[in-house]
Amino acid sequence: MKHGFLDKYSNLKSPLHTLDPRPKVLFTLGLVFTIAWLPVGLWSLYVVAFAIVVAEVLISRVPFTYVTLRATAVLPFSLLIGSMRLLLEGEGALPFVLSLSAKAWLSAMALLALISTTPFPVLLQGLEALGFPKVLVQVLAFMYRYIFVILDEAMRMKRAWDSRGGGRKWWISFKAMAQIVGVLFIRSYERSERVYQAMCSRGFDGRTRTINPFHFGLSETVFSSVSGTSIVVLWTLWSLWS
Amino acid sequence: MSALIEVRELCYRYPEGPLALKGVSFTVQEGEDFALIGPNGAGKSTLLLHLNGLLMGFSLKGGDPVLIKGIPVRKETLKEIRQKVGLVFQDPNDQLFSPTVFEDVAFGPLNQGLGPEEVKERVRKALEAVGISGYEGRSPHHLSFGEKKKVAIATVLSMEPELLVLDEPTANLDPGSRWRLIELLMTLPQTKVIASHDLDLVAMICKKALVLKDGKALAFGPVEDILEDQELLREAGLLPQVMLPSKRGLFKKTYR
Repeated sequence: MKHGFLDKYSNLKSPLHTLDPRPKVLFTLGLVFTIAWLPVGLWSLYVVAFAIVVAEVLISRVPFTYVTLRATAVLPFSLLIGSMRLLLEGEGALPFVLSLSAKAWLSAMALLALISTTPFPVLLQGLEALGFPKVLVQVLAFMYRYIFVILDEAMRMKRAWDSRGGGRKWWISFKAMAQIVGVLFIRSYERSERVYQAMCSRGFDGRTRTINPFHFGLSETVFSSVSGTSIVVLWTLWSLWS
Repeated sequence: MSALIEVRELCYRYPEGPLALKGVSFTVQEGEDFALIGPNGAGKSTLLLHLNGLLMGFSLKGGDPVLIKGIPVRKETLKEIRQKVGLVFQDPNDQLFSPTVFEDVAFGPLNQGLGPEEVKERVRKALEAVGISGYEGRSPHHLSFGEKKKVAIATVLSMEPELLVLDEPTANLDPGSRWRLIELLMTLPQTKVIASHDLDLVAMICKKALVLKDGKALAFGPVEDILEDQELLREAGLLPQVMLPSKRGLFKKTYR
């Protein structure tokens, strides 16, 4: 069965795609934290942050509408939190709600720009090279490897249910759904044992070893200075305007 | 010179389960490709897991039940044993656990403590040996089943083992891919131990065979003798119980 890629567009060719992932990760984290710290209602700064993300997306040649639309997926969450504040405090909370949504949307765009320019395996290697805990990187790696394998299994079980379910939908029958979830869990558990055996038979002794394939060259230096400057500009404008 | 594999009266009991192996003995000489045939549940996979120490059984006679090149398979020798014995699992989704093909094929050599350049060279050679050079950056999930099988073999070849142990290498492959895999296996120089009920594969590749049923050895000998013995194959559940009639007399298949 075929599924979409988690990291769609990450195999395009652009100056950003060929870059070492480490400066990209650091830039994205810096940008997201800056956006999160911006004060409520300082709209001109939000526009500047938006411009930085737009510039990044344009350089990367990732379709702009893909990034902007996909980033709206976070809006329901921020609106839900905001609506509680609206209920409690009335209209006075409106700038807060709008700022929160704008920040969430901008941050999601920044992260999408990162994963659309970096294939997921490369991103993981980058995180590891940056000193991210190896256990967490491994958990993410296994997730990336097996999420579709497990999804395939779930879809096969759903088909088997559909063909014997007498027309009832599987998600309406709680018993069937509970069984599917339970069996999926047991199968994944058994698979994890076989995967561990396969790792052991190739000399795994609990320590993960990887090759650091990255090279911090001229383009990385250029990217780091430009992106670093953009964040510094954001901070300077903030201190000027407030 | 000691035999490549020596198994002496090997027994194994799964935790809280019945005896899966009930005293199996055989020896395999270097270069003498070996087949392990038998019906489902005969204990073939269990036996294979003993060859690199993933499972450790006991011997009826006492002493070490499994020796690889004269080295007993024990906790202390596991590192050395696993360097010599490459085990390819039946389901390539279990064997391939990394985000990219490169990382998976490099996993073994990295665990052997090799340097980056040497690891890259090993990966290149292993992928070339199975005929899928240039797949380094691909994600295992987006490969066809036949390609996954080849990568699974490459992950073991990159460790440069002396012995290749394959569990049902042709299972679930379509006839074309199955044939290409058999041809590939024939080009690999390592001594092979193959557990299968694909008798064509066994006849093409192996020189000796052990027939296993219910954890016991039914027969052990040259492949020709075993595959000629229809009575034995039927007893082991490897031939249909009924002979199919045909215009040219009784259906008879010879494996040569």
